Order: sequence, then structure tokens, then C-alpha cells
Amino acid sequence: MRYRSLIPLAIFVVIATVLGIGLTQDADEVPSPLIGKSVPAFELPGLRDPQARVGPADEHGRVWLLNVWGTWCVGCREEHDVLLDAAREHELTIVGLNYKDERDAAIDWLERLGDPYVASAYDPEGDVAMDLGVYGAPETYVVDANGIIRHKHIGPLSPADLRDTIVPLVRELEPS
Amino acid sequence: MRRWLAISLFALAGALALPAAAGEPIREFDAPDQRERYYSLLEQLRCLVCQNESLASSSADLAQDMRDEVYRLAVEENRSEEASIAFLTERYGDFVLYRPPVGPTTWLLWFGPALMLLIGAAILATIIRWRRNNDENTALSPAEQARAERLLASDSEDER
Amino acid sequence: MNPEIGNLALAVALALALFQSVVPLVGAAQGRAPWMAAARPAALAQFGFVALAFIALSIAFYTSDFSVAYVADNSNRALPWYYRLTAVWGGHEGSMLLWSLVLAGWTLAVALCSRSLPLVLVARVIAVLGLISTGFLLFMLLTSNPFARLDPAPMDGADLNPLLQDIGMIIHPPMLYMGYVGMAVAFGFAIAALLGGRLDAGWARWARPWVTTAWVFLTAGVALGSWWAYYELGWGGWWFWDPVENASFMPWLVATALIHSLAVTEKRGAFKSWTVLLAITAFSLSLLGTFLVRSGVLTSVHAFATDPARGVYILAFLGLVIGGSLLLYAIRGPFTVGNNRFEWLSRETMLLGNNVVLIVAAGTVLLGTLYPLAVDSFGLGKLSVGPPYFNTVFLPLMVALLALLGGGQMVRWRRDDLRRIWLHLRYALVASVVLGLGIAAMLGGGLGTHLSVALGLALALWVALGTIQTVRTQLSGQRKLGGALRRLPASVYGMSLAHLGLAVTVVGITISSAYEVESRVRMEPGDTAVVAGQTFRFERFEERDGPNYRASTATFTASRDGEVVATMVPEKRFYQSGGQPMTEAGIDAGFTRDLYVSLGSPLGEAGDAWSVRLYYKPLVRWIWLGALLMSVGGLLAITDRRYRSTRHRAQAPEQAGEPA
Repeated sequence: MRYRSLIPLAIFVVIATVLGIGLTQDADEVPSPLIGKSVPAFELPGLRDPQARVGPADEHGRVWLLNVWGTWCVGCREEHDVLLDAAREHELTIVGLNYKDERDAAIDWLERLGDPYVASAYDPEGDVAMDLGVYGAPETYVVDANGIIRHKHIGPLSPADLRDTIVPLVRELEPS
Repeated sequence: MRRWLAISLFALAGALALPAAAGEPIREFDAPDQRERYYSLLEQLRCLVCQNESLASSSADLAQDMRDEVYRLAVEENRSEEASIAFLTERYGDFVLYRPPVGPTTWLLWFGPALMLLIGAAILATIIRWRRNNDENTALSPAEQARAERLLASDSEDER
Repeated sequence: MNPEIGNLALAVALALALFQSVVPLVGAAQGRAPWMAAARPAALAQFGFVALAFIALSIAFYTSDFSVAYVADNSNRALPWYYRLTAVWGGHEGSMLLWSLVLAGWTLAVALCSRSLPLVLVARVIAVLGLISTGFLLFMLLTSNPFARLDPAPMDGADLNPLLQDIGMIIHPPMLYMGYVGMAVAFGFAIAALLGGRLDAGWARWARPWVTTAWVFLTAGVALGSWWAYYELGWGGWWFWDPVENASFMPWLVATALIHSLAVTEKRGAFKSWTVLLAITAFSLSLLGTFLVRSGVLTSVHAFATDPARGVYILAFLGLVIGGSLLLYAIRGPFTVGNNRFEWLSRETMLLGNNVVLIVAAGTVLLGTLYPLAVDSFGLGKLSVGPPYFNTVFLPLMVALLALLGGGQMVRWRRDDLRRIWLHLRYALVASVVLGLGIAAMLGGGLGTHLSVALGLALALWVALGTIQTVRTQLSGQRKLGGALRRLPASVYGMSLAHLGLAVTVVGITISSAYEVESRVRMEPGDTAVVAGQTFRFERFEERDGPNYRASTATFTASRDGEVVATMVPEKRFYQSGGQPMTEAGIDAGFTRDLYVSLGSPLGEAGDAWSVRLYYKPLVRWIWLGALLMSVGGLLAITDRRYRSTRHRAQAPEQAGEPA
């Protein structure tokens, strides 16, 4: 047996290893390049009050969540109770970014289902969403006291996501 | 084929939804190079929710939003191709690019083929050089060679 | 009752496959003829039971038996009967069953058409195929049983994926599987040679027709997939470098290399180890393709089975089959090197060069396909590798391949004289360069277009003229042309036709990508638009009902100089089962050009305004025409006399000048 006839086997072992590791990973999860960077500065009209200005500047100094949602989005309905729970039970600060929606429908939704947001920004054209690199709704960002994005969750938040990931992260980031 | 994901995403509509479709508008261009730049960008960028379609081919709604964005960047704001790409990668990451940038993590990707070709050529040259000098004295004439092959063949028939 | 029969048939087939792999192998090792002789009947019986399972599943589909989960997931009462039958392989479980059926079919073919082969070789080949079959049957029974019951049975099924409700998708998977699985036969021959420890010219001669047949199917399968994407995806692209396309392209590249190296092994008794390694690689890549598609390891759409248990099983199976055979290769691989000298300029060198380029090409596709996964696995981030990358790195490789091919056919075995080659090919060389540049200048376009067209055409002409000139050289000195043509072996015709086919494909790719004209316009009935001198008119719009969908149908005509030359009917189909609307392009296919219309989306306002994509695609059909010629060339080569007369060893030895 000559060593060079082992080369094909070696190449295969490398490929199989990569495939093996690949199997253990979630192929759908795409990290955001914005993690570790400042949340894009924006000032949008408020959802309920078009005269008001809502933006990250208002939240400076505390840890907050930015939640992208719309009434057309089924996943948003699904996670709504989780958000309410986050706001009421865990006392998290959540800013809503209403994405590509009708103002009246969105206000009606919050009246009917409860409003977990300390403030709601209205982004009918999706301009801010594009700056955030939003794929779709819902998406949730965790922003620290210095305005740095620390975490991004794509898709609806489950009670387990809230309990095991979001809340511990917020607690850890909170200035002591 | 690449629509399958789009379909499965629709099946999972509960998980991640997109706003209702607004048909693709008809694009207008001031100059032919804008048009070229716009369509060239669409070919190079990935539709993120489809994960296997370029922006040019995807009919997903996010792709439409991103096409609008590309149109705004490359045509309305008249940015260069590089500047438009830089703008998008800052927000969506390298994942959005179908042509990954050359860098330490992609050296193997970009130079791998050339490297393989070099290795292949080197092996080829070695083999030929070796075969040229292979048993110069004992080499068989074509007739002898043929006879040898016949013998080998009949040998293997005996195994039956 | 019927699904239980299917289930039972699968279990029996598994037992038979196990028998078929173990008994003949032991028999071959210990020289027990009766044990070896058991291989053939076992293969026959195994095929029978797999076919029975397949029929059982087909019946379940035909009768809409929704108590079978797989049927409920992939069919529905409104589905026309022919799609109900092809829905059998419309999902994961059924695809696997089709894979097994095709494998059992190939095995049966080996069992029936191997009377002239030594029993020990046949026993080993069939045993190896049985081993692979065992793996797949076990996989089905453990993780993806197509006969699993659903209780209570739903009233109606979910429907077949609308993308698959199409003629292209009916024939594409079986073709591709015939090719993939056909590589298993080459693999079986390779393993048998390794186990037997000997490999002679006779071995190559036996293996060659099998490999060529599988290659013909693979070529047709890949081309069909491309053709389907062209008319079904609605924007006229024909190759996307999608992981799943790559999964079929890699085995094709390696199989093509294998065909060429087998030629050397058969004619000159050289490169034996290399040929065996290629046979193992071609099948390994087929298996890897299956893994990539089935395991969901790539961010791929097609991963319709993303059950981790399946991924783990296939990876383990892959490790066993590929790892095991490569280990065997490492131990037994180096065969004695024959006394075959050759010089720098020789057919051997040319074919080795062909192999180097094809293998590097396959390696490149593999690298590009797996790179995002590897980068992600090592925690270095996410990136995408797509068409811009592949097109960039592939171009130089293809230039090298075509340049080599044009002249390489002329070169003689062992040694040749550069002056002789030059004398024969100088006009071909000059003509291809001059014509390439000239035609490109005539067709016009920017500098970039001009150069790429000149390069593409010159290479295609070089290949075509080189091929023709090579045949002419072989005929020279013969008195009667007719008789000489008849005396040329079928393999020469096959090879030449396949090479001409490649040239045709290259012309199609070059011209259609350089001179395609695309227009995206807003149109409503009555509107006209002019694209590349063709006047497209949106004649009328209507809604129509299909068996299980509603379609928005538009009728377009194209006219030139006031005369209507074509009618096209693009559609948007909305299937009852929901999901995205399907785009059916309206295509007027032609030898010199395709006219292509696809509906984008309705433009909100009142009336029937649509965004419409209009294309003029010159010579696009040549891409698939070339692939067809390659397949036919392969078929011709199989009919060569010498494969039919392997029983008679006393033939005259091959002449050194005869092409492979």
C-alpha cells in the first residue's frame, strides 16, 4: 500500500466531516451583519399619532427590543401573546416597527389584541426596515443601552425563545 | 426548481410572512448603462427568503422590495455597482452576494480551481515523463503487445 | 390491504438484497461456484419484489388511497390520472423507491446481459449492487416508508407540488436516476476488479458499454432538467448552478472523464488504477448528490426531506460505501503497470489532459457547492456562491477543454509528430479563428460581447472542424468512400457525433447569452411591443379552468413584416392547493431562435394590464440539441460490434490509429 493511494480517502474524510458538521446546523439561520453595530438612526411618524416622532434616540440608556410587525403577517399574530407577556410579566421595553401596513388596521389590531409596545413607529414604505436588513415579519432585535444591536430573532418568538434567550440576554445587558 | 423553497415558505406562512404582492413596475432608465447596471446587480444578488434564487428571477415579495431598493440605489441615486453592493452588504451581509468577495475566508474558493489545475498539470507531466522512460528496453512491439493482451483476456476467461 | 403488500414486498426485497450481496461475495472469495451462481436469480427475485412494491404504491396513487400518508401528501382527487401516477416519485419516499427500482433494474440488466463475462466477476458486480440496494431499502423501511399509514385517512390529499405537474418533471427524475444509478454498475465493476485484484483490457471492454449507457441517460437527464427550468421558471434561464443541478452535473463531468479514461484502459491497458478510481468517484458523487438533496444540509430548496435522522443515515451509508471502497482502493488499488510507453504528444497525453480538466471542473463545482457549508461549519459566517462565481471560474476550464479536444482527436496513440498534426489541422485552425472573429464582427455588439462571441465560436468551430478532419484523415487512402464510411466502426461515429454535439451546445450557449434580447413591458390586450424586429401583440386575455387550477391565459402573436409568424400562450396558473402561482411561459421554439413570452404580474389598475417579459433568444435550442446529439452519439458507440462479440477473443488487435 502506497501512501499516495490514500489521498482519495483523505479527501473524502474531509468532505464527510464538513457534511457531518453541516447536518448539525440550522441551514436557514442567517446572521445579521448589524449585530454588534449601532441600530440605524431613524425618526418615523408614530402609528397612533402621525405628528409624533419615534426613533431609537428615545430609548437611549436602556435595553430595549425592536419588533417588526404587520397585520398581514400570520406569524405576528402568533407571537403577539408572547410580546404581551414580555411587556407585562418581564417588563421589557418593546418598540414596534409597523412594517408595510395600513395605519387603521394596525391601530385596530393593537386595540383589539392589546398593545405591548412603549412606542410604535409607522413605516408604510419599509424604508427603515430595509436599513435594518429585514427579511420579512416578524423580526425582533435586542438593542443595548448604548444603542448597539446584540441579537436578532427571525420569525415568531415562542414562549421558550422569550424565556431562554431574550429575557436572560436583556437581564445580562441591563446596566447594574 | 428554486421555487420549491418559496412554496415551502408559503406552506410555513405562519412562520415568516411577507406583505401582499404589488406587481413589478416597469422600470425606466435614463441611460443604457443604468439599465445594464440594474440588471447586472439583480443577477448578482440573492433573494434572501428564497435562498436559492437571484433577485432577477425571484417572484417572492421580499425580492420585489429589494429590487425596488436596487433600483433606488443604482438608478435613482445613480450609485456605482460597487457602491450599491457595499450598501446592501452592510445591511444583509455577504450572504446576499452570489459572487463572494475575495478575502482570507474565500481564498480557497477563488484560487482552489487554479490550484487544482496546477496540481493536475504537475501530476500529468510527472506521469508522462515517467511513462516516456518506462522500460525502454523491455517495451513490446505493437504485435507483441496485442498478443499479450489476448493472453491476459483468455486468462480471465478461465476463471469461469 | 394493498399498502401492506407493498410494505411486505419491500421487506422481502431487503432480505433478498442482503442475500444477493453476501452469498455471491463469500462464494467468490472461497471459489464456490454454486454460491456465485446464486447472484443472478437473487437479482431477478429482488427486482420482482421491488417492482411489486412500486406497483403497489402506483395503485395506491391511482385509486387515491389517502390512508397512505405519502399519497395524502402528494396527490389529490382533482389531479389528472397521469399526474397521479407520476406523483409516485413526486416526493421523498417515492423518489427513494424509484431509485431502488432503477437500481434493481440495472442489476437485472447486468444479470441478463453478462453471459460472456466470467462468473466470478458477475457474482461480485451483482453482490456490490445488492449491497447498495440493501442500504437504500433499509433506508426506506427505517426512515422513509412510502407505505406508512395515516389514521384517520383524510378526505382528500394535499396535492402534488404544482411545479411537478409537468411533462418535463415526469421524465426528468427517472432519466437522471437511470444515469445516477447506472454509475452504480461502473462502481460494481470497479469494486469487483479491486476484490479480484486484477484488471485487464477485457475488464475495460466489459465495463465500457455499461458506463456509456449510464452516461447517455445522465446526459439526457441533465439536459432535461435544464430544458424544464427554461420553460417553467418563467424568465428563460437554463442553468442556475443550483446545488441540486450541481449534484447532477458533477457525476456527469466525472462520468465523461471515465468514458475517456476507459478508452485508454481498453485500448492500451494503461491508467487502470485511475479508471477504477474514476468509476468509484462517479458513483460517489451520485450518492453525494442524493445526500445533498435529501438531507437538507444545503440551504437548498429541494431538500424536501429535512428530517435529521435521514441525513444521519445517508451520511453513515455514504461513509460506509464511499469510505469503504476508497479504503479498498488504497489497499488493492495499484495494479501492475503494463509496458505502455507514450510520448509527450500522444493520444494518451491528450486523454489524460481531458481527464485533468474534467476532474478539476468537477472539483470546482464541488468546491463551490460545499464552500458555503464549510465556511458555516467552521463558524466563519454565511456566504453565497452562485452563478457569477461559477461562470467566472468555469470559463477558462472549458476553453482549455475545447482547445484540447479540437486537436486531440487527431493525435495517435503512443507517439505522434507535431508536423503531421499541423499538416492535417492547419486549415481547421485558421478557419476557426478567422470565421470566429469574422462572424462575431458581423453579428456586432460591444467589445466584451465581441470577444466572448469570437472565442466561443472559434472554439466550437475548432472542435467541429477538428472532428470532421479526423474522420476524413481516417478515410483518406480508401478507394471507395461509401465502403470506407461503412467500415468505420460505430464507435467512431458515436464519438464524432458526441463531439459535434458539444460544439453545437457551445454555439448555442455563446450566441444565446450574447444576443438575447429582453424586454419587460406593461401590456394590455391590443398592445404591441417590438423586440429584435419581432412585433409582439397581446391579442386577448381570458380565464380558463384546468383540472385542478384556474389559469389566467394570454394569447400573443409575433409578426415580422406584417406577417404573423407565431402564436404563444403564456399562463399564470393558480392551483387549488394554494401556494404561489405557476408561470407557464409561451414559447415559439425554432431552430434559429425562440420567442418567449411570460406573464409577470397583473398591474393593479382596472383592465387586463400585465407586466410582461418578452424575449428573443437566438439559437437557444442548440444548447439542448447539442446534448441530444451527445446522447445519440453515446447510443451509437454502444452499438459498436466489438461489444457484441466479446465472446470471441480471437479478433484482430485494434489498430493503433483507431480512435477511442
